Amino acid sequence: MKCVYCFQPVHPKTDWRNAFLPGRPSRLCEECMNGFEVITEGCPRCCNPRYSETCPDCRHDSALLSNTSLLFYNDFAKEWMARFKYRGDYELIASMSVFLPYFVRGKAVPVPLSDVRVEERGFNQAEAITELLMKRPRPYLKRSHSEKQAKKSKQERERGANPFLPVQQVRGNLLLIDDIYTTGTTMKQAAAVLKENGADSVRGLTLFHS
Amino acid sequence: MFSGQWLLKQELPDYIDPSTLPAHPGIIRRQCQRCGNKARYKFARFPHAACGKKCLYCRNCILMGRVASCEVLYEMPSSVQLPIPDTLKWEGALTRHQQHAADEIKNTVIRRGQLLVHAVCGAGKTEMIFPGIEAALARGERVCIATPRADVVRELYPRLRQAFPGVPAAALYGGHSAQVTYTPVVLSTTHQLYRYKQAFDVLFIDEVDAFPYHNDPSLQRAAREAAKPDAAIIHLTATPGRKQKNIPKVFVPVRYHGHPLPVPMFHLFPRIRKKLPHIEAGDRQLLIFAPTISRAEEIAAELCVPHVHSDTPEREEVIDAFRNCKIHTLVTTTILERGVTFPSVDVYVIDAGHDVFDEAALVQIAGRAGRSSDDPDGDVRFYMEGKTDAVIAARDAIKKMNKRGYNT
Ligand SMILES: [Zn+2]
Ligand SMILES: [Zn+2]
Ligand SMILES: [Zn+2]
Ligand SMILES: [Zn+2]
Repeated sequence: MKCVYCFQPVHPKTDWRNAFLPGRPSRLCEECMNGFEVITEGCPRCCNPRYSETCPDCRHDSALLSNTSLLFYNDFAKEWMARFKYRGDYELIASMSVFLPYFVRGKAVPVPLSDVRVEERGFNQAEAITELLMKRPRPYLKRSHSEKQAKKSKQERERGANPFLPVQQVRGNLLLIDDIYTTGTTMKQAAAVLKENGADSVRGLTLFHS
Repeated sequence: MFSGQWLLKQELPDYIDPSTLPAHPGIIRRQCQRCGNKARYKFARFPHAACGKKCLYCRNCILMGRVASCEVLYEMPSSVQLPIPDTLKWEGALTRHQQHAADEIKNTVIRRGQLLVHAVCGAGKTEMIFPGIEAALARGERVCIATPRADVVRELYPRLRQAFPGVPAAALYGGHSAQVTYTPVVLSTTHQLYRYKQAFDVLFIDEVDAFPYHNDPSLQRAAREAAKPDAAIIHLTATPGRKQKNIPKVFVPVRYHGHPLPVPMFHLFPRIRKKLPHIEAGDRQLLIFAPTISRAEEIAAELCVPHVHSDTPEREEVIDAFRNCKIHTLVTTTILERGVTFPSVDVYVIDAGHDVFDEAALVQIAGRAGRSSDDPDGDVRFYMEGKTDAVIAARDAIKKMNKRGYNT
């Protein structure tokens, strides 16, 4: 087998990371695996690894009950993300399988992209993650097109209008899925729309926390 | 006026109507038509929103944007290039050895043949190719100089512009890669050749015996396809491998300043994988090579000096700071082993017995020292636990080149 990221040969072996997870072999070589850093401690609500208690962003109530992020957004992760999301190397999602929790609760709602963005990328990275979790993606939301989030300041993002629109009334406990948690604004806006339309609770899951 | 590249739709400039360009399927019979990749494990499928199908795409050249089976590559027409006489404004002089190689290169350009130029590190390769480039331009021919490293492209570009001030030239690497305007001279990383088909009359390929070119058949194919079928192809190397048997060769055994290559000194040091020998800041700047990124980081931390490796985001700035002598000591991995030059440095290799340091890499690393005629020596030290075949072969190769240089 070849490493899904660097194409070097991998000799699959069982270690503590995959011993209890049958059927989900790591497709990363050891060196690439070590490039990622797992978040072991952070803000109890959003997993912000720079805090061990509730971080300033989480002191206010929001529609997003909590968020789990798996990995640090370090330089290695940034390079990975550039190839996965911006160059469009869909197959790379397979390298995340070892880091994902085996079971997650709630109906999976991938954070949608605007039509313009989907056209540009060819796929929605949040749906790729949902598929890897072996969850059925629920198309409960739509997103209108606005300027790139990354280009705005934090204040601008918070002031900006909510780009998400409901598609239908929803029920039950939902799990919002996205690739990265930056300030949480995107996740909170999506959660707010879901709550307004009937969700009992909304939690989040992202691969990275910046 | 365009450039002979094959581009993805999103790479086309806004003002071009794609329907006016010839289009080629991105993938034919499981072969990528941009990079030639056929290896099964370098293809994958993705749920493609544009067409609603699970489309095949090439992962070999993914860093240049995704080539998918349902999409096409647009062929930018090559333009007609007129002869440009008297382009070379470089005023330096070539040594006897350089002149000999330069003549051979020029002849190869004119008769559209092939040539392997074996020049020791610091022989002044760039100057030797100038007359060949001038001859090609005078004949209305398009020239490409391809080299494995983006850092080398960045270093070479200003020197080329200085030597040929009136000639439009493009530098293509990493993020600077779509060529919109036609230029008679293209300087590019070897990877960028994937985008060109039958575009060049003369192709210089630098470091043919080095990573990544020497062990990547798809890059070699890319080079063949970027050149016209009857193009002149000139291979440059400092460490010839055993492959190119049937093409004419020319050897430049002496550095341009006429001094021999510094011969590496062996320092046996137990536990070099874990510990560091005592390192003092001398008069010259010091370049320290480490086998891995993590070791480079450790050494840099221990010595309190900066380091660069392939993932360093500000590597261009760090390299420039070192070149401008704002940094005395720099720790690096093998990314700086070739092409990038600093006038006056000592070179230490930590853990020279490590697998990443093969003979070719060690010869190149040693060749970083003593580049300037004002200071033609340089202290080259290999620190290791025990001698390996590679370090011995590297030292022998350097001694042999020095010997050939002074017997001719
Ligand atoms: Zn790997
Ligand atoms: Zn928080
Ligand atoms: Zn390809
Ligand atoms: Zn498609």
